Amino acid sequence: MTLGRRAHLQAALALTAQLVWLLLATPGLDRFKADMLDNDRARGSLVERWGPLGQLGNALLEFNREVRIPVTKLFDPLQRVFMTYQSFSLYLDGPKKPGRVEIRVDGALVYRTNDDEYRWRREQLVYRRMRPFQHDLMLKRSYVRATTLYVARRAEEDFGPVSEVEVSVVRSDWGEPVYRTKRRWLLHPPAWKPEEVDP
Amino acid sequence: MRARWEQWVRFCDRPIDCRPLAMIRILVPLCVIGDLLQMAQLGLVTTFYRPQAIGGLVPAPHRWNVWDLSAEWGGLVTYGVTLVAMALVSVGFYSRISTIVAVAASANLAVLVPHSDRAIDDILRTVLLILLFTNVHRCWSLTGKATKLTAGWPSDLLLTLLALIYMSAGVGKIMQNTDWVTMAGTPVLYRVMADPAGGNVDESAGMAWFGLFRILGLLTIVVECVGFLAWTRWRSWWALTVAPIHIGIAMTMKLGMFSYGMLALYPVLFAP
Repeated sequence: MTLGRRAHLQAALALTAQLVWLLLATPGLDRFKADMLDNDRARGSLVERWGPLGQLGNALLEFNREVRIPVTKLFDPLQRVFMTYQSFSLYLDGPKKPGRVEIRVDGALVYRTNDDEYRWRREQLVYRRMRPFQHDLMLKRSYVRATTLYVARRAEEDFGPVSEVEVSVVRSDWGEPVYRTKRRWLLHPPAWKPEEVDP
Repeated sequence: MRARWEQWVRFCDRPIDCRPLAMIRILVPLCVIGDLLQMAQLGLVTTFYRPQAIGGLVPAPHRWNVWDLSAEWGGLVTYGVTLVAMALVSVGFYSRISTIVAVAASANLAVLVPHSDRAIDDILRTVLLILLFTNVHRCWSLTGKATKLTAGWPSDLLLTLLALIYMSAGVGKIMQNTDWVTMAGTPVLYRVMADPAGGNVDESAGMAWFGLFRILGLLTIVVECVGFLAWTRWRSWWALTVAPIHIGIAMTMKLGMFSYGMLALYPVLFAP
């Protein structure tokens, strides 16, 4: 049976896709940045400590730096079009200590993460697309302003005129519901700009 | 070399039953639709898909987006288009065109609020794009001449995707925290499942089951790291060991459509 041009093209596409995919999402290497152990001293100490395994590690990191990361960058525009980034860091670890977000409206506690007693807007705040925003409060990342503003606006909607909204992050030990405030933001109308204050 | 290449060409072109892939075409959009409808039910559509300046959650991103066309309606229309196009993909109404529209619209929603777009969204968009290269638009669909066969290579790509997803998760977990395998400290799986922000397991009650969490954590690592079995004839047996993880996640964690989205891809693992 003769193979048509279409079959050859299809096979070439399949091979390219398989190889590119393996490079884009190489398990393990996808967690290393280009500058990882990018100097002789660090590479030497890896070999000194781990022997042949260290040499293998150095070779893998070099492959990552010289081949995998450049290929990833090459395919970045293609991945961006359909937002199909092939990086799968699925739930790698849990928190060392449980963290919760607390919300107070004019001094009254209305929400605490996973607390059945204080469950104002809980369904919205734990929705899978909203959860990363709560997480940002705990780690004080980029969306603190967005998340606290959302909370303040919804508080105004639900409780009428509000003079102060407090959003805080509390930590406890596992199984011990004694909460220690780690971070605290106060928001006031009309700007609702989060002002970080001492816990 | 030439013989090897021809062997590869024949392998890629081998006809396979496209019904498992058609099932994926039906199930994946249903997961996305369920997620988007939940967002509507929670009253979060305008929160997510209008810019912060007019009551939404986040400011407009720096790259071009539908808010540049209309801040008020751009995101909402894209949300509607995603819903409708996903439904059309699922029922098989001009599936190829519907798929391109659905994936493009879903990607635009991701551009508007990148922080709300999770790995599962990337995965499902990728899968829909792979299905474009199959005959699933002609199987269990409203339009297109019916067929039950398609070339095998897109199915192989899906298996590669699944293998990489699980192996990355397994290897990544060990690299992040060796306690997954050393059995030291507070069990990592307990910390994941009792995390108030993401889990439903009662913190205090869970402490009585540390031994079980350690064993389940270790088993999770093992079945994830052997994800390469997706490439072998043992793939369906392997799938039977991974599926319970997703069922467990659905029952004990607040990850929304993650488990359902992953399980929607499993027909390819059980394909003959």
